[in-house]
Amino acid sequence: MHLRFMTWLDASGKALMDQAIKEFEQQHPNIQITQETVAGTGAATYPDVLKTGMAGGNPPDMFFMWGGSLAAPFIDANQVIRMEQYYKRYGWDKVLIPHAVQAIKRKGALYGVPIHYQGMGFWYRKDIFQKHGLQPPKTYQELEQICQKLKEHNIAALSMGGKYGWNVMRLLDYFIEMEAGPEKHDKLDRLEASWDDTAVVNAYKLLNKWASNGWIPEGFMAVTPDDARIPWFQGKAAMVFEGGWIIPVIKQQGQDITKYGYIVPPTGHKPERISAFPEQIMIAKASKHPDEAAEFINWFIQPSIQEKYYDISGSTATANVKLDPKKYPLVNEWNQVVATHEAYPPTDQAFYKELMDSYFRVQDAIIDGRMTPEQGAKEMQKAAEEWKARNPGKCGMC
Amino acid sequence: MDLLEVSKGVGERLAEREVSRASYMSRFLRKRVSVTPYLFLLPALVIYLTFLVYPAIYSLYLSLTEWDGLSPQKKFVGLQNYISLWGDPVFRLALRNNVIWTVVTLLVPTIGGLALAVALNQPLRGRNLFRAVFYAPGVLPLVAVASIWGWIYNPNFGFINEMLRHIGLGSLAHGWLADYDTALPATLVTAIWQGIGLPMMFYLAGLQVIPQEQYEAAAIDGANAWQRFWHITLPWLSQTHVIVITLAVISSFRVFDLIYAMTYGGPGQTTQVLATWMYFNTFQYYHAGYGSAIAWVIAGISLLVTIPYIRLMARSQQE
Repeated sequence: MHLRFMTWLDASGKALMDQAIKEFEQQHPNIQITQETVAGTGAATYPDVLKTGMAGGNPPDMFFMWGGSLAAPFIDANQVIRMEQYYKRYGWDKVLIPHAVQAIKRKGALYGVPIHYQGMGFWYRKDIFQKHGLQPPKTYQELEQICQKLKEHNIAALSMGGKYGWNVMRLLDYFIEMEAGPEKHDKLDRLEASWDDTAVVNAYKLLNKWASNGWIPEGFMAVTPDDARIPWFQGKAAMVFEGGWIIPVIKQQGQDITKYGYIVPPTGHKPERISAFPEQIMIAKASKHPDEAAEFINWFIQPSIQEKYYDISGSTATANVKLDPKKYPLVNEWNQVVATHEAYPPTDQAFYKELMDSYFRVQDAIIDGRMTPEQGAKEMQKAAEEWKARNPGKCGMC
Repeated sequence: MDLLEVSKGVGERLAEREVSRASYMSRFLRKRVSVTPYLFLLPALVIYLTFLVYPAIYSLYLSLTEWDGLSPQKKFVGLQNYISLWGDPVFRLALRNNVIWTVVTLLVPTIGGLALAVALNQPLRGRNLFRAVFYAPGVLPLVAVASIWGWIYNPNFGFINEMLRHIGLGSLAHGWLADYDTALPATLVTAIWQGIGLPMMFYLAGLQVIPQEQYEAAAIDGANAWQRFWHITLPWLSQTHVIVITLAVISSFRVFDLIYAMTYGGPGQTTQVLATWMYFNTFQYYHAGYGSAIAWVIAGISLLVTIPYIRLMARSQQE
């Protein structure tokens, strides 16, 4: 039988996944899998393509999906199957990292299997830091000093791509976590606290400060997230805000991986949380072969397979994955950081897209200076109230 | 009445009946013949009904519902989606942007295309090369055009900013597509670059049918170049103007690709147009009913322009 598998992998990731699929097919001659990929825009268009297939009654049998509000519409529209029976049959609870499984639950139920658990932070050029006598910051104040010093040497501290909004969102999310603290940040994400709050105003002030001080390259709002890495690789910017997936990208660019390091964004709070999110595989309700799809997922999430094909996404949600430190410098360290830090979700996994676009609209206006931080906070709260009124009972982080 | 008269009368009636039968057969055969063109039209008609009329009617129905685009249930809400449109600030902004887009892409490529056509209708050296150069952007896929211009406008290493810095105008260099004031004009420049070739070709074709004798006679009568253009060229191109202007209006209300690929409707919602706002609502916000209502507003505006165009073309063909 034949299964269709939709992913968002780019060319190199797709090639590796195809290799993994081939290996699976050799071991399971009765199952054939075709990978279909929608690469390049992240969560901006992938769900649209998937949704079109579903609305047309022809969805892929299984597909990649994020968590939270990005997965919620597919679950709420009853388009995916519940997976508890497969967790029980295959004992996946013992295979997977528990907090990754927890992170994909919706209203206590399991509709997917986590394959990645991605944590994000600053990734920096050690050579640039060394050249200017800089050390990774331990506090936010130190981070600002680094930004200022780099600017004096005509180097942008952080390269970001504002097109689609979500890349810059990571920085704003960090500021909100720092200004609001973990408890209030979670309430803001669940719309249980008002966005018209001093913490949000302060976060907007910081965002505007970074943009207007030139700590981010000029014109970054029109740049795609992928293109934003170019100044970093060229040495014109010192940092990017990315997840562990950046490690294979650094290698693919032919860069010397030893010149790169990571910085856990200092928040000054306890617990010091990082932005992290799960990625999962879901099985479509319309699939005629859910058992075979589950068989593939079971094969794919085993530690030995995850170790072998780790470069597909540069992350795993499987426990006990041991990677060769020589082949994967940084990876084990970073995975340890992700595993030991509590997490807050990126806002685009907490908010539905419609509300998220209000978040992006305010974010853009703050950077451009068209809205003061105070106006931005009021505008965001207004958008949240209007969205709640239009969508009673909807919740991205339930 | 004698037997002869009776037989004559029967004979006449039989003859009349025969004539009537022959006439019926002839009409019948004519009718049969007249069905044939419809049989030839049938395959195209079936395709048209299946892939255009049915989806259009279905989307009209969807525009009267509240539907997330995924669930089996659709809630009928009557005209509520159409009423909500007017309270939606982004819809109003998108409509305004479409009007700006229409005015600019109507005037600039049309006038520019006419000027180029008149210039390239002269016996210049290498005019075929120039014609090809100006027409070439029109055959490129819009996404490719958007990608090319995205790089030209790139704030860090794009051609425009590099050139400005090179000639000492570095202070003017900025993020063209990221700036609220320049994002829409910047995409319009791309649209003009891409769209100028088609009207040029239409006008070049129109110029070929103008009799040269008229220009010669006007020149003998002392008409200058401007007078010849105004009193001969422009009137002769009246049919071409209708085609060019109508196509420009229709395509401007359908604009999607350039905006989507160059700015994604941003910064903020500054460059949203009706088609992108329809897309965002239908596919990203899970408001398929509302998105369908926007689609029908676009269709309505396009039909308002297209119907007079089709009638004009039909009348012109009859003449």
